[in-house]
Amino acid sequence: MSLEIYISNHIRSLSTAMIADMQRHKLGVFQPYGLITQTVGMNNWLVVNMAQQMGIAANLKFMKPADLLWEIYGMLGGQSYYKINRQNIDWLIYAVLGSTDFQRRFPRQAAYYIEEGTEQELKKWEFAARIADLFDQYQIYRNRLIERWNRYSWEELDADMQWQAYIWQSIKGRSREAFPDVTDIYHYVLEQLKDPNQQERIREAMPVLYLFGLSILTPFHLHVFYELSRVIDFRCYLVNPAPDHYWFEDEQEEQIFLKQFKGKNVAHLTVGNPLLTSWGKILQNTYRLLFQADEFINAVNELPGEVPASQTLLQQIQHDIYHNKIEDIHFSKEQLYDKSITITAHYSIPREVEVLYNYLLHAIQEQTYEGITERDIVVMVSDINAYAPYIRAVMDNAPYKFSYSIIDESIAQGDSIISALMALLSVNEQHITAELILELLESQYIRQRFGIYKMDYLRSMIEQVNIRFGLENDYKDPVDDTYLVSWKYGLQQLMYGACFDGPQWYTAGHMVYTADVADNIEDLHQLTALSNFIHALEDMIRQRKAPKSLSEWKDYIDEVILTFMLSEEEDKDEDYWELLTRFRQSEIIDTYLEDTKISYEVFSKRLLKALGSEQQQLNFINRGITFCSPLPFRSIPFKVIAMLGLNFDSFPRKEAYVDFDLMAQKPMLGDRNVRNNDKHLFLESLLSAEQALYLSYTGRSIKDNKPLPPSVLIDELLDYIQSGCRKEGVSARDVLVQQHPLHSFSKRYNQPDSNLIPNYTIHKPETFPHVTVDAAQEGHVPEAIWNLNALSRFLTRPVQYYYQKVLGVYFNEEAAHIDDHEYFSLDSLKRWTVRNALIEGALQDDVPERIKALYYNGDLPLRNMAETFIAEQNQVIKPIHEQYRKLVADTAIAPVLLEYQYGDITFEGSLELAGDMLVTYVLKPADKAWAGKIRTSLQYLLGVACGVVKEAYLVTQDKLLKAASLTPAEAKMRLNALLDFYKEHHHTMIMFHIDIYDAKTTIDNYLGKIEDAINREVCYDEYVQHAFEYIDREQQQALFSGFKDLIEQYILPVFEYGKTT
Amino acid sequence: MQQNTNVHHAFASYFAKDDLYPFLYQLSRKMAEGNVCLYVNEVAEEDGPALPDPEILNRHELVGNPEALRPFILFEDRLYLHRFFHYERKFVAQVNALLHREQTYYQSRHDFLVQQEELIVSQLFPESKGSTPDWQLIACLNSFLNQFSIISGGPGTGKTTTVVKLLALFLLEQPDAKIKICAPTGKAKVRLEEGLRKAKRTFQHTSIPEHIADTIATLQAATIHSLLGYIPGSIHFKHHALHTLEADILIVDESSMVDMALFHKLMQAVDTNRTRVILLGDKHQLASVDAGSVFRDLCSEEEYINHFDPERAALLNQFVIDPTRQLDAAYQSENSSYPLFQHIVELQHSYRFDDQKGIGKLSKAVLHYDEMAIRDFAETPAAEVGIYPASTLQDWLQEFAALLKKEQGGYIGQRDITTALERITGSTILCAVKEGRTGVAALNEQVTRLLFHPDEVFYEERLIMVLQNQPQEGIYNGDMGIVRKDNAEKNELKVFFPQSDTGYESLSPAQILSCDSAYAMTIHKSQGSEFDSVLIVLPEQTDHQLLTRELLYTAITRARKRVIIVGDIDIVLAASAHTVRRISGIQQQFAAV
Repeated sequence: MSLEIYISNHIRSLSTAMIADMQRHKLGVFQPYGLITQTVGMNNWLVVNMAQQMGIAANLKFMKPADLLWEIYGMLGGQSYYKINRQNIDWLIYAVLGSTDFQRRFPRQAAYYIEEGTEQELKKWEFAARIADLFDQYQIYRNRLIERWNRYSWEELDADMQWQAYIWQSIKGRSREAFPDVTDIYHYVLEQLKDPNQQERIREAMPVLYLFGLSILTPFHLHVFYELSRVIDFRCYLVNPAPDHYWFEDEQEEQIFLKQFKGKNVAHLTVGNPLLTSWGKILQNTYRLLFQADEFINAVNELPGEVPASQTLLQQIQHDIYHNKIEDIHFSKEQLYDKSITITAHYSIPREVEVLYNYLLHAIQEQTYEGITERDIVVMVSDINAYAPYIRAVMDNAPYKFSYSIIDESIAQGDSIISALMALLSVNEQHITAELILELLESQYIRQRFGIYKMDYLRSMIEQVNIRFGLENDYKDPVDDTYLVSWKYGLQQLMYGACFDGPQWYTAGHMVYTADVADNIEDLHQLTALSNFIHALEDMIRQRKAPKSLSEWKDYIDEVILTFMLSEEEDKDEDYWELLTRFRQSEIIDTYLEDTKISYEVFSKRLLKALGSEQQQLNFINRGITFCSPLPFRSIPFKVIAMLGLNFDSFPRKEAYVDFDLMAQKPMLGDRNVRNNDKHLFLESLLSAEQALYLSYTGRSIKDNKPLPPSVLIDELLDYIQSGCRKEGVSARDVLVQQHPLHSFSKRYNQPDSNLIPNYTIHKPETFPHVTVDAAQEGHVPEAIWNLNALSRFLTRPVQYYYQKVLGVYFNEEAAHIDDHEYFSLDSLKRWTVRNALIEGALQDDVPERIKALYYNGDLPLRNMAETFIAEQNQVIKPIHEQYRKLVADTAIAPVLLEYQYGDITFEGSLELAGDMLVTYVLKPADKAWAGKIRTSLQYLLGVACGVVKEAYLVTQDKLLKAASLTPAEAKMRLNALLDFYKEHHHTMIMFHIDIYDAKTTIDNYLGKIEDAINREVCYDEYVQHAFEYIDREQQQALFSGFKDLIEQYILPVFEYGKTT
Repeated sequence: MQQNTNVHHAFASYFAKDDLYPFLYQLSRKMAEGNVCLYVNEVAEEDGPALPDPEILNRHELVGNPEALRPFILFEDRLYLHRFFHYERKFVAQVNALLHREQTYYQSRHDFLVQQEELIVSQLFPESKGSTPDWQLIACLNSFLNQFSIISGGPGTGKTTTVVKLLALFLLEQPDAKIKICAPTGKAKVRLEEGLRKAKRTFQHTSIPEHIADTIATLQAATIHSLLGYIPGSIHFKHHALHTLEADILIVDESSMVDMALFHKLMQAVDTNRTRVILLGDKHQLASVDAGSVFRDLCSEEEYINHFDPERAALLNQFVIDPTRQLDAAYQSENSSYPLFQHIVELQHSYRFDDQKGIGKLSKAVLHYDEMAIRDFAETPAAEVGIYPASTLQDWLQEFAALLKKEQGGYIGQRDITTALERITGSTILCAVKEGRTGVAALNEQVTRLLFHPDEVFYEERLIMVLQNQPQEGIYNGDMGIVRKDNAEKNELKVFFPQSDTGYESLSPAQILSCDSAYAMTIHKSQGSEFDSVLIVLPEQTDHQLLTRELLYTAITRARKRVIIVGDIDIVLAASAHTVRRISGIQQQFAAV
């Protein structure tokens, strides 16, 4: 039985050698090959290689280093089903921390969380979680320490570790034999391995064990390996980027710094290539550990090295590293421009993804890197959960579609049972807003369970009845009337509203003004389903108020799932079973928790954190381009390797230590170090990229445009390249780093002289085909009836008229976000509604009723705000109303439909008349009431032309305007002139909006005024904004000249000579 | 915590947890099935809680009498939502107002008809052979006299022809009469317009002035929604009781598809002092999907249909020369108290189908549950009309799939888009259900595989049906279109829809919010359309709730030339035997006035 270690710079040579060895071993058909690797990606890659080399890849048993011991333990007859790990001891620790014994003995530690209250409970759990994490690591990295803890009473140990040892011993005491710790298992295994029968048992089960590509090894693991190798064949295949050189004994950085500080010459202290030694710390540690023992040194076999080529910049660097080059670093100018290394800087994540897309498409299209396919590309992103939505957005909407897969995403992402559960558990009673409910209903599971399918309808209903926040608010004891914006009141408005014909006052425990918005059973059932969902939510929140034991919480979660996502009868999918297995353990642990009751806050925080950190199980190299998070030891060869999110503050990540971490206090070789892991990953990526390396980062602040530095690793790489091209006199940064513009549609793209990656996601804007061209008239069937309202709109908002009536284009308002607070001010539409109700109310003498209805319908702000607002409005309205009243006196107002024959066409309009008098009002001062003047004039002309109207008044805020008297003949002449113009131009776009009009508007200045209004964002007609870019100015001026004459000659004079008061 | 998500339970328990609960549960259920209200004395239902003693309804605070302002109303042993009770009540009130108004006009209309006798007898309704009364003539004259009339009839019985002639009389009487015609769906609207376009031919050899023929032929029909003035995001319309429709005559086609709520709103917008209302439909057809089967309810008093009092009969007989075709005693009743007496005429003679054979015979057999006749169609099926066992489904699917190809008269491969669009009504497959082996989804899938091997959702020559109204784009739920490359625009895929004026219009697939393949469709969706050949695929279980006589009849009458039913004979018989009356209180409301 033997130990053999093979080392090569190239992972391909290693895999070839290993597979050849496997072939030599020729195990029986049912005997699996044991393989220890670090990642699933590596496994997949090995399977592919094996299939190629052996013709078949079957019967492989992949293990992670941590699983090996557990596996052997099982083979040797170990009895326990569970072991101590982070997930199942944190509750035990939590219980220990809560015990009075601990608090009495270690008041200093307990002081952190000892007081009453939810916050303290949470702190206690956080504390327990940290300790659990440490205990997890101690078992691997400090097994000696754990051994001592297991052997001696805590009182006999060093003072600074007594409290931790106490906790450890308490949880061991509680769980007894049920959970062996790693050292227990380790000792069990070592003991059993001495027994020849057991040795035979192992040999039969696993005659040979391979360890492939690992870069991190701990003394603990090495020891296990060594012991095993005495029983079975043990083969290690390890990577060394510079196998021909000894570069492991590098000085510690601090020592170098110290020597520099003392003015010493330190050049000779670096034993290797700067990139290799800076990024290869992990490898250095591993090899130093390995070579501490003679058995390992003797077992080393060097495989023949694969010398990298040195043509491109990337290859040259790989070549330098292989040769551990310290001096004579040189890059040619051609290499700098050969695109084998591309670095791009951006403003934001979406831009990073867009440019990556363009880079890949360009590379494939131009065959920059020979024939690469989607499977030859891997993209690592620093935070996969943050990038995934953008990756989908860009890749799914791009002009050319790549196939791709995103792995390592958190299970909380996407529409799954787990994500829905997490959303439900995060619901905070204090904050049940309209948007929150709508967000929860985004989950298809919840929607299906409750039979909800008309989301747009429900959103608009919620908006209509003004539901903002709170289940009930102060319903029981009215204080500030916020119950009016609560779910309970809003749903009453809707549910009773569906029952009643027309809005009604109805007392349902409380006065409700019902909403008249649903008149079919389908909609009523949608509202019912919504109300049912809210009710279930209320119940869910109520039930979580009492603290529960762990298994009671498990039942609670079961209930939540069955209530909100799956019915009991339904077939459960994988997600569900996965969740259940996750909880099965809680029941076992619960038995050791005695009667510890856990509050919902602590339980849910723990659960959400656990669920949030879980990753989706998807295969690496699944299909197409692989997007993944940067896991070290995943760097198997790809033709193109891209890394995104290499920002200064996010990569390499920093290690965070707690002050009671016994490992940090006395570091040892082989300790975990996140920062070095990331550096190692970067080195691996650089070395395993076969054709190209693409790096990108956020290089400028989107807020203030300040430059932001890249990851220090990019800087080191650039410094290195710079050091090799001094002779060329070029700046490596200028050549290699591209700063991309803020927007994808920037003009800097796709210019002939641009050095930016071309942009495939934008099209050149096409000319706007429909402006002012009368093409629409072709094939158009003339309408037989023209309407006064349409004409009025044509004259006041011709652009909107053109878009809607001619092009049939409506700019709909996007479903707006519903605020999570009550109204404090009203938007213009609501304000108009209120004012209109006040005027109408004043005319009908029912103002209080109307205000009450508005208030209970959620159309007014609450309480005093409403009173103030109405008082303000009344000031405006009162004079208008009085004036109106004076004019109309006791005459009844009646609607009259008038028809005027214009050639073949009937021109119709509806007028509200008091006898033969037309009285209209407008809530604007006389010199701004242009739209009102136009509309009233049209009505007046029609009324006089039809012989129905004798006089007309327009009541404005400050003046009463009386229309000039006209004979029917005069009125007809004017009306005909207007209709002539309308006939000729109603399919033409005239760039105008009544809001920009005043007496000083001229043909020369009006376009400038519109432009100015758009620029100052005071022109809120989006039609004008949209069309303005595309107009032909001269043509518009010609059109406008006729338009202006028309208004000024035929319409405005109607009121110009009128009496004003 | 476990929440019962049954919507009827949720509805009932929102309002009541006491003895009212079972009533509200069943009310919700009944409404979902298309009823306007719940009959509270009903015997135990198979689904949901049994109804306790209805006495509770008399004293429950949520339930009131017709005048009360309570969410639920109890009227004549019927439990309603306040809303639907008043819809029904106001609807009946409007009809009554129209009936009441009739007295005012009767004499002048009577005189006018007498005056036009020559035109009517010899030109509009020249004597044709037959042993029964000429119901078209009766319907036309009767409707002229009435302010509110109903003309019911199956396909090919000449409803549109009758209306065209009626319109001519109206226009002769009142040349500037404002005519509004409408139908519940866009498709029905288009078909109605097509019918009107033929008016000129109808009047070719008559003395009806050309401008009247022109006016009728160019009338624009509207959907009820657009006639009333659709307000986005609202259940109300621009026309209502205070802003009535400008119309002297209002004609509503395919009235059987109109539900209670819409009928109510339509009638509210009618000026009862001015407008004459004529409802056209087929009382045997499926009712609307939503609550209410108003048209059928109005026609439910069979004994009053095609019956007249002696005075009216005498007047009508004046226009019938052949004594054998006059309204004899069998069609006469003494003045009935039923308000709609002599307001409903059923056209009984189909000009398209022969009652004795083929489609005509089959549809009659289904309507009257003529077991022998139905069995005949199964035992000796013909290639044109027949009932075939379920096992033959695959063969028929292949045959009907092939019918879509140009060589067999279909649209696939027909280069000219206008012609292709005309051909999409050549054949279709109708299903009773959406899901399952015999459902729309499965059959669409099968036909797709027989004809195409698409990689994408939208592929060339895909036939689609729109599932959502998009008035801004001019397409409506149920509209059918063909996907093709638009050569003018860079070979992009477009969906082409037929349009009566310009032949077709096209939209980009992305503009269509919701659509499905349309090789197969549900019978409900096919209402208002006709096809040359129809393959009807029935489900496999006899106890299917949906499977009713009305459904089967509607499906059969979609066919113009050929109808194949695939389904075992027991299923066909079960369907034909199963007829469902929806519950409403329209009769009681009439009686209460």
